Amino acid sequence: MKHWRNFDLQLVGIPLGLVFFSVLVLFAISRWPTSGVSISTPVHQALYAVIGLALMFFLTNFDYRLLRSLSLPMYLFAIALLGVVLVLGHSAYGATRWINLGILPLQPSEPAKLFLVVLLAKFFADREERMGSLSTLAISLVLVVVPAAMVLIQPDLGTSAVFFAIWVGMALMAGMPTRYLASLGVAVIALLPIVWHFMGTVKRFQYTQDRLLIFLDPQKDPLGSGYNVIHSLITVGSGGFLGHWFSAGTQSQLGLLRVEDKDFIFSVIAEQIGFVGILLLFAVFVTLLMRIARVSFMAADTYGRLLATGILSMLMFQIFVNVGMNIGLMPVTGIPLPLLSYGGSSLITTLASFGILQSILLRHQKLVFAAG
Amino acid sequence: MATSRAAAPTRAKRAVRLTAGAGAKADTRPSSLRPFLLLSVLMLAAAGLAARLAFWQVMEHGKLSALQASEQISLSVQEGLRGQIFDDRGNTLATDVNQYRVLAAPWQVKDPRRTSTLLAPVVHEPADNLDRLLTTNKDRIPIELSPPVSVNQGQRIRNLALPGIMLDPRASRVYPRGTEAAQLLGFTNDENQGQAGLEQYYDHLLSGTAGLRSVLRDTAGNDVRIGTQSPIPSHNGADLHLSLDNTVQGLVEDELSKAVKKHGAIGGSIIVMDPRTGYILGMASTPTFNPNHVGTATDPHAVYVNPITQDTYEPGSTMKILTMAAGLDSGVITPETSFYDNGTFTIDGTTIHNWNLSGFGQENMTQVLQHSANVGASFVAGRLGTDRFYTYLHRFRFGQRTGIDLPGESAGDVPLPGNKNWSIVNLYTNSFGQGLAMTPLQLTSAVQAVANGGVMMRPQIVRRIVYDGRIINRPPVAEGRVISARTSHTLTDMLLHSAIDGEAQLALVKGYNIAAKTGTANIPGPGGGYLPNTTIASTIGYAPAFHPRLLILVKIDRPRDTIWGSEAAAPVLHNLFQELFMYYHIPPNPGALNK
Repeated sequence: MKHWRNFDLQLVGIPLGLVFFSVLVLFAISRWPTSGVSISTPVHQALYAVIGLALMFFLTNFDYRLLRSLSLPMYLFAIALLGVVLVLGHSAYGATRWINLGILPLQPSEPAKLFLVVLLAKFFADREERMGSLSTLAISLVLVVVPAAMVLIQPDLGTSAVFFAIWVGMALMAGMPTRYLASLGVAVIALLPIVWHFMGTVKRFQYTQDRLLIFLDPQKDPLGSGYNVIHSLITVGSGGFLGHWFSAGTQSQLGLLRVEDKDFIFSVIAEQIGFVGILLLFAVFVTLLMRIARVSFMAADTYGRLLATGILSMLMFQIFVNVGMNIGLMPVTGIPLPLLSYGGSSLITTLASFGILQSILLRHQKLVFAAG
Repeated sequence: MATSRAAAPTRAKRAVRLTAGAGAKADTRPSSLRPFLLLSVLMLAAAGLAARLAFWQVMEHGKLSALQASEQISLSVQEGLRGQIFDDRGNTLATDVNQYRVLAAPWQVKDPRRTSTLLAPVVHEPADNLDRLLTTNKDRIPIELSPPVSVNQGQRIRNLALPGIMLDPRASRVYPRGTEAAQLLGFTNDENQGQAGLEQYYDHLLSGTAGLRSVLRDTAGNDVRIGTQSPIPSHNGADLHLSLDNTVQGLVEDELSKAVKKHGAIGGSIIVMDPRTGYILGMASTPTFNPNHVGTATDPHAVYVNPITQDTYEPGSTMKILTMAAGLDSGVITPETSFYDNGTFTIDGTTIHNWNLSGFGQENMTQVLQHSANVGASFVAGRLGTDRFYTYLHRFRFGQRTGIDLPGESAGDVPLPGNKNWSIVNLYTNSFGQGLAMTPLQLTSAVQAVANGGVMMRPQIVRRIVYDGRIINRPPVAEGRVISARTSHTLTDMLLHSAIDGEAQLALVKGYNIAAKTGTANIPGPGGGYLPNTTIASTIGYAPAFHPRLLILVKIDRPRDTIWGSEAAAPVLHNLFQELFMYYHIPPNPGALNK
């Protein structure tokens, strides 16, 4: 029962436009003689986009309600992959996050986010009548904490936080009593000092702790952990009101910024397109998020509504945290900017989630809006 | 498709149930405000980010741009890598390796005990020493903690992430073969400038030209990150390819140290030259030093002076080759010229004796060489007269530098007629190698002319210079004809015969024609006259005679168990010839005199 007239062109057009822009920026970066980014980066990104688009159209045609029965196996598969990373993953920038699959280095925490959304949507939908029950709170938290903990010990604080952001967004929209959420928030804040102390004593978390400290005072270690925070700010600031538009001699071209193709691509873009351009980019992102929110409102069933909500929370959180860390508002936590940062796992996962969103739209029955 | 169709009913049923559930629930959602909450979070966050960006990109733009300008690029000098030195077979004799100096800023070191404990195993220094360095230095000056470390060790130190410990990259000169050919190669100082030997002579070629590179500097002036593009590229220095052969050099050094040890000598030198070209194949002196550890060398003379080109000695009887060459070439004697040797010769109140203080009776010129008779050499000098004798000495380039590509070469000291240090006695004493000083190389070079059909070649060590991919060959250089080819042939024949039954017989190898002459030189004492029972024992020889490929001088300084060249130096020549004939595949001569 598909209704192709419900197909949302913006939900395809905007991601496609952003991916195209990403490939262009990566290509420009790879041409700068000082950058460590090779020409293979934009080529790979385009390739990943093609794979992601194929998956997106497959999922558009795929009835999202079938995901409901697949959700537990998918979730367990994700947990297994995260386990594999911990055992034999590849390290980069102080953290072990990848599995080398030859052509595509897989970062299992990326699909794991989407798989968590799929499972939580089923769980909350099943328990729709019992949202006020403590067991709902407890079990849903366990479902989040398991993958979040596995990602946290990689260590990848950022992605771990994305899992919790997904949970908060979905629980909120599923109707979890606000007093639960509020008391949970208070409990987390109360526990922070203890967690902080614990991190200081375990060696692999000192890296995470360093990054958080650097957020508070980047000048503490300007050549080490604070380096990127300072340079992303200088890069962003150098863009000014109108930007440089890929002219020569700009900060990002000096090759001073690291991971300029991944976590810090926003700084490069900000320098090149300036404040005006960034406002435009924000408008594009906000439009995209609104379109996702629209899916959530239009969904035929609770399951679809929660799926869309989960995807919305996931992308929204990632966009804000990534942009935030590029402009010194958030600690540097290694979260990619959806659709713009270089990385196959992230790009393909994001495009796949747009396929799920379309699938929800195509199968919604509330024709009230469409009729008008 | 078949499967999916078969499953369809179930799916549809479930879907309907779900849809119904959702529909039923739609009106009783806990709060319709929640979606708006979500949207307001979205809007607020976007506004927050935009505000923050406005702050950085619009309001702070000027400040950040200034920071960008002040911080990012400055130019720094980039040294080119120093050229390498290779032997004739391409073995590396000197090369640059990247190393790190390990520096500490003691005032920044938080925990000296921990720092030194962690560093100690990496830099191979006792932890207590490091601890003392870190705690006792109160000045705010960085201190060097250990000798430079390798790139690997540097990486390990970096991984320790110790506050106050810094690594300063530098290129260091390394001589992979240690003491081998040390005096020939020389060494470089801390600034990688050549201080002796080839390193000094060719410093201008070996040292790279510095370029400029762009670097990022922090406010403290440290290089943070080096750009990959240089406005002015640096150039690496030229590589030197020597005529020196590593194998020959090894043999030479082995034989030299064995002989010095065996005879309890204070030192010695050996030169192996290709007499056809003047190229040096091997050259060594002892005592020597390790150019990798110049700082700890105990003998400054060994480090800074190459005795072969910079120290002079009175050669003694080896000089008789050249006296005889002058006599034959000028026609005042022939090999058959004979005279009566009564053991003494008196001139101007000075009496000259033979080495055994007795006469050899009637002897021809070949026998003079065979007996190494001083009286015989004086006889030839007398026939030549002052003018002719010193003309030939000049032609053999005594008193002049050979022009070898090594620094600080000595010209020797040959008092000439008219000089206040010269008297007629000099003519006669010079004829058997006394009263004049020369470097071992000068003697070798002169005998090279005799060996090479009378044409003198300039001694050279560097065969080829490679710079920026261009090859500059240094072909053999002929200095000119010194004696006729006929004289050369005649003299070689005399040396060959005289060696067989004479003083130099221990230098010979069966089946080969070797022209050789021993020398036992006296050493002038501080107050004039010669030191008693103290000599420089030497032997020079070339082979195969008439078609020579090897010319060897062996010089042993102050042997204790014997004073004679025939006993201390000639056997070394024998060993070297034997090994080198094999090494160079020089076949024995079936018609050789020495069977």
